[in-house]
Amino acid sequence: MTALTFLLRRLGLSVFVFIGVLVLTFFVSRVIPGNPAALYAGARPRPEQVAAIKVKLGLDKPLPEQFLVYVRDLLDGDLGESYHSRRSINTDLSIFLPATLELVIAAVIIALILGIPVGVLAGAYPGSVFDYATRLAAVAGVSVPSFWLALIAQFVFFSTLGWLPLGGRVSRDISLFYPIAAQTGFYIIDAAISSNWRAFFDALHHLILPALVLSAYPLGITIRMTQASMLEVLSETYITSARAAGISQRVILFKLALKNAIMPALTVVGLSFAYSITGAFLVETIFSWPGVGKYVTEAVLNVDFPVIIAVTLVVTIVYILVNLFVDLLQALLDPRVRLG
Amino acid sequence: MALLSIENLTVEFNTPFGAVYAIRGIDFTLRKGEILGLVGETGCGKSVTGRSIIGLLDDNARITAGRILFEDVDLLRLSDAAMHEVRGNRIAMIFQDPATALNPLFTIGAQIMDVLRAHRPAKRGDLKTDAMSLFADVGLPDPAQMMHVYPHQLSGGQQQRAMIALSLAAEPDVIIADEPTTALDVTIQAQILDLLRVLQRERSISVILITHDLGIVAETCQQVVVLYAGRVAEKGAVEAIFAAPQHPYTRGLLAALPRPGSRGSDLQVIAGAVPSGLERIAGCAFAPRCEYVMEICRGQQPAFSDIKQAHQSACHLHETFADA
Amino acid sequence: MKVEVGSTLWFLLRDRAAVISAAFLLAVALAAVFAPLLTPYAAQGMGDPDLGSKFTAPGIKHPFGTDGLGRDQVARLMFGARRSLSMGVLVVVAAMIIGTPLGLIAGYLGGWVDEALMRVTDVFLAFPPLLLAIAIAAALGASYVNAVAAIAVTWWPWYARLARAQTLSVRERAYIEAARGIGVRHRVIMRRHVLPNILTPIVVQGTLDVGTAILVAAGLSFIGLGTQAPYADWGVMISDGRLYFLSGRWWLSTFPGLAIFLTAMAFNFLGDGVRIAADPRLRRVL
Repeated sequence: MTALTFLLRRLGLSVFVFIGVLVLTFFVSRVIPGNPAALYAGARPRPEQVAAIKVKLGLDKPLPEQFLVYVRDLLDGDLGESYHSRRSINTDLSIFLPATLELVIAAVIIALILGIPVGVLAGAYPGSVFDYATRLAAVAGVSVPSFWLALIAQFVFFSTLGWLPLGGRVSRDISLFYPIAAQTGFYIIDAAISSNWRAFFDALHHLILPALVLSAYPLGITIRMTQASMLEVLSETYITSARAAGISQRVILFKLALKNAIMPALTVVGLSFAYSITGAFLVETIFSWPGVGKYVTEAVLNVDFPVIIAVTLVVTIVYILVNLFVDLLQALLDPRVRLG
Repeated sequence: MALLSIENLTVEFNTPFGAVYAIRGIDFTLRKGEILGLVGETGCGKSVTGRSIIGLLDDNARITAGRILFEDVDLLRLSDAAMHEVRGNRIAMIFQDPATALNPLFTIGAQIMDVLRAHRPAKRGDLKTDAMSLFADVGLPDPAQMMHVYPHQLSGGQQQRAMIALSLAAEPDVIIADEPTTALDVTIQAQILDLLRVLQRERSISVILITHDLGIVAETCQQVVVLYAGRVAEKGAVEAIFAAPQHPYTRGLLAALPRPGSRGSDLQVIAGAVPSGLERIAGCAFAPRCEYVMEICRGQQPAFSDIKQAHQSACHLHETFADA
Repeated sequence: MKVEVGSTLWFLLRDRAAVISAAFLLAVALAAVFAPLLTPYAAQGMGDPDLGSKFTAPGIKHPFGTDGLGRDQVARLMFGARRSLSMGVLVVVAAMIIGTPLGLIAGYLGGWVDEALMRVTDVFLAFPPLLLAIAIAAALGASYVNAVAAIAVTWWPWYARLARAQTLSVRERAYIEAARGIGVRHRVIMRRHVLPNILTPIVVQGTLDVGTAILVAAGLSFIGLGTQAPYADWGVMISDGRLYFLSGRWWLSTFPGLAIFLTAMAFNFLGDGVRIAADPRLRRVL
């Protein structure tokens, strides 16, 4: 397969999936609810509000026409308005989405940096104590409810040890006296490029605990997949032939085998991202982290349906892009695809 | 002069069904500068023998008895670190399917440089020159370009040449070639075997050629060891054994060999099946399939008897003849 | 994957983690089923308050303490297990009932039907897990049944894909070809010949997935889209205890969290054990 056909096929698939996601979210928002207008109007709506929503969303028109309206609004970049706050969802998301992405990316980085070497070593020494300990840790990681782990982590690192803050993105005094100039919306990056080091370390300090909690599940997945992939690679003939040629165990594990093992393990980047996002929806509230997860859980409490649908759509699009990126990266790293 | 002596080598595999006997005590000697053919059917233990010599048996395999003497040092008693020094440096190995024996994600050049670097730390420039001269030695076209080529871009024959270059990189004394031509076309087979012969002559490398093909042995080897069910049936100089095979199993194999002019119906096949590795064998392993089987064959394992110098066979028939 | 029941069981019994896990899960299931007989506080387990004993710390009378309405936490946990376990099982069963026939038909018929189904599963799997379930549960309205339905609707594609893959491997077998050759109708072949042969691996996979389903269901309940008051499942109990957790009432969230954690772990260990025992190629690892 040449690089170009691969690229085109992969892009084509993404476009198709994107359209499918639009159809499905439309279905969820307009067809599943008994009375979509009432849902969009929020908790205890007045009849005239419902009527107004009906006209605004075109709910009195046939479904195909409604779908066109739905797509047209999205293409205009209009995600609608929060019933609860009356604010534009676009504005809200431009603040909340970077906060969540910062948290999720930090969790993914932790999962990969810890998970890959641990998985490699566990795969290299099957049956060892390290292997068993690692397996136990990996199973624990994918079994622990993140929202419970968040509470326990707060209890240990905030209440008991006092090492880390309870929640939020920065301390109050930092936001008052050393405000971070918003550019990317990622506090760490914004603070760093404006050389606001006090804020940088404060933001980092706030990031550690939620990121660690979110990384539990993707860490477990990363360890499992790297270990399985390593076990398989190490039984390949080219590893035996490298051993027969007298190449050292260190080079075999961390250069020759790792490169082969990392190819399938790269898919864990996409998975880690997905699971971190899922985690974010459950724990952001606990850490008072002002991201889309907290936004959605509050929307659930306030029956703020437009927000739920908009976030579902936007986050899924981000996820589709991440998967596309990972697949292309994988293709780029594999000489058989690149040059074939 | 004996370079490598295998003495009473015995290997078992642990499996969920109990111990499987892969090798039931074999002896043979490889002399310096010769090509020795290790022949037998699938499962006779020839590959396990190769793996035992280079110390790369699977985790569930256990060497329960025997010695492997390389220049009078027992390789089985070496520490992991010392054995690591032997691999590649003194004894190297090439494999049946070069497509799987070369790492798909590294260039041929990178792979050979890894081997060179493992054995003699040198400057990058030197390594590159050495690598390219090795590619030239094994007859790969355009050595400079080979440095940047990935395995999948080469033909099967070229891949095997690259694999041979890799095994030569640290100038070993012995190369174990495990079915090196089985995965290749017939014409390419001949070229690779030629290459092995040239290397043996010019570099006085000793080769253990593991194969199921007696035709290849006849063309390539000086010595041959015929294995059956984890034991040596017959061994000796190729001319002697091909001229006058003594063991009924060897005779059967030779008779089954297609010859020019023979029609399909002339092909002889030995009836019956190889005993399973799970069985303990009291007498001769070949007894159940042997057309000359006698009472003694089922109860007592035959010892080696010298037919002539450098030609030995493990069969009770010889004793019967000797007594007569 | 053809599962040999006899040897699978034999290898499973040698796996200590799997055996302990199975025993634990059995104990939890029994506690859930016989909850009314096992606790003197059955009424509190189903939601009745006892305001006289609010926020009692763990002790002899209440080993896991009481909550803000004075309800015994052991009873709440046992009745919560009914909800949490049943949510996990129902999600998996519903997803299998939707996914298996679709995957079977797609794999058997092939062609555009197959292509269409695979693309539909692509769309469902493009959503990060939980997210689509939140949206659907919100659209349906918050309740126990709707939460199960919402998760099942996002989960069936996994079983559809598994059923399809299994069908593809079964389809070419001789007895199926023979049945087709003598003119047996497709519907009959699918039901009588294909379905029984693909069911075992699907059921095995389903058993492994119950732990994850329990976790996801607890997540939905935690954000308020699952079990509704006065009933509680383990996710709701963690959520209820959350506000008091750091102010000394640690027992409220700790025990239900442990219950989810240990149950999910047990399903994982049991699942790994079954997978290894059922696949002869993996047995060497033991």
